[in-house]
Amino acid sequence: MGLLDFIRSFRATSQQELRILLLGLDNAGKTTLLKVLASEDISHITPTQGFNIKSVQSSGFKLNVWDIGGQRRIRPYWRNYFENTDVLIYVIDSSDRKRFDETNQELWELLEEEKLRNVPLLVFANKQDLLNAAKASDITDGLSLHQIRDRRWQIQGCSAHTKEGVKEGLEWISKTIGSNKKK
Amino acid sequence: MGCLFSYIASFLGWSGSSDIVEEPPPRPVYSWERADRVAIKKEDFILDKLKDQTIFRLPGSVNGQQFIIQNCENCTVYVFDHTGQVQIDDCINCKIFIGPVHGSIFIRDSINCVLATICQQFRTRDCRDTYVYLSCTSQPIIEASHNIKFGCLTFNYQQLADQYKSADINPWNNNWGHIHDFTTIPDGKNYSLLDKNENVFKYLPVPTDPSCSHLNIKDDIDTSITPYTYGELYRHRTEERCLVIFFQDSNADACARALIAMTKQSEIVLVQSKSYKIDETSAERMFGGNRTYTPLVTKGPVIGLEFAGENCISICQQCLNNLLATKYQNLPHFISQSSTDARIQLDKFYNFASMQMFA
Repeated sequence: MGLLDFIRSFRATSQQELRILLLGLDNAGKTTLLKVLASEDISHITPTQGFNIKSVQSSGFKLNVWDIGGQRRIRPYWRNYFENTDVLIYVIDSSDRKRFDETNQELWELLEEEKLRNVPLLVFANKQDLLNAAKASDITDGLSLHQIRDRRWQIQGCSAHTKEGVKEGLEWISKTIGSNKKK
Repeated sequence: MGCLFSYIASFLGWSGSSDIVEEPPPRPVYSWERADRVAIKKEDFILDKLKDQTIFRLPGSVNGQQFIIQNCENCTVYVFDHTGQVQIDDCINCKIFIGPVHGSIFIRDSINCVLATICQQFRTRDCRDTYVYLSCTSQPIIEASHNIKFGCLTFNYQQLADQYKSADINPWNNNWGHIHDFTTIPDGKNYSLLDKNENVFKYLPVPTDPSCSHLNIKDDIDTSITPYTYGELYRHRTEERCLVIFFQDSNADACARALIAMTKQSEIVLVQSKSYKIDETSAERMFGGNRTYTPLVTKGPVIGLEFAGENCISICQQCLNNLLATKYQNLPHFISQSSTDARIQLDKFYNFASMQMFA
């Protein structure tokens, strides 16, 4: 089934809104991912100066996705968007090996934030289609994801450009939130 | 043993051991896992720790792959091909040309370089004293960078036009001088704009290797794929403006270029061009309720040209009528009729483009 059909198949237990926060370094591919989630054209994407927000509404629920600019200068503003986040999606340019340490540091600072405590984490190892991309398994080790103890997490290799791997990441969110909401 | 298992299973609340355990659906093979892709060696697309060298990549040698240049000094690099994402890191005194980039080109921690490129996104961080010649379809951004000089890239070589298409880059959308700086400084600017007479071969060496002489590489304005636009150099000047729109047609590109060439003789300048698909609601508001244009916008993207100069409306009309009469009969078009109208039409033309992009 198509990506949008899949998004439509989400079921929260009632008329729920899911607040999804898209973070990561600049040039990670966050806005492209956002456009893919909204089934929109990705050929005219410009570096994000502030933030983008899209709501994907369907079948009685709403996914509110917040895509925040990731330049070093504006990362201090990320904290303005933490409150009430249901899922944190952290996007990594898998081919930007020079900045693996930097993205590692930013991710772990996020995991120590009080306002993001217990929030499930999906790491998209994006740009797997590029030659210099590190495999998701290598990124898992590099980011020490196995040391995460305080929340559910998942890493998913993907290419927002080709749309591959994106649906699989959303499937994990669906499973995770679904079991969260069970009474 | 079977009994014990089903006893434990029912104790744990599992469904009976006679149920068929479903295999999860087989994971798809991603495009980057296919054998032909795995066979490509990434080292062929990375230039690392080179000094005092000149490197050429000819058409077909990169073919849309990611390209990386890092830790190089005193090097000259020409990539005469379309590429995927480009990273340039920790380079000193390097002169680099990169053909159409599908995605972003990101230059970081580099000093005293010259970079000329055609791209969808342009980004810098922690750079200084660098010349950047661009044909860039989105707004270029800089961060923590100083003394960056931006110019409009005018360039052509054999196969470049096809490479623009491979990288999905429209030569009519160039934001070369419209820079966003994430780290502005209070008294001054981290960047400046180069004048028209400072073309790229003033700072980028002309390639002389025999391997690329057949490419007929030129930086002159008349043959450039991306038209020369003054952009921010002219934004605040008060000369009369004129908007010309060519609707989707196989001759639109050729006529637009012919019009630009013709108007030059009268010292009319091209400030900006823009190509996008105007949606029907915007069309009705653009053309003052005149519905004859609405079916024209549905056919595809338009090419819009903003001209400036004394009497530019009457000059553009004359030139355009000449072209329509002699060579481009029946070409669907629109042209401003008065200077007050022109300003309003241009505002709308650009605003609708922005709105549609950020929708």
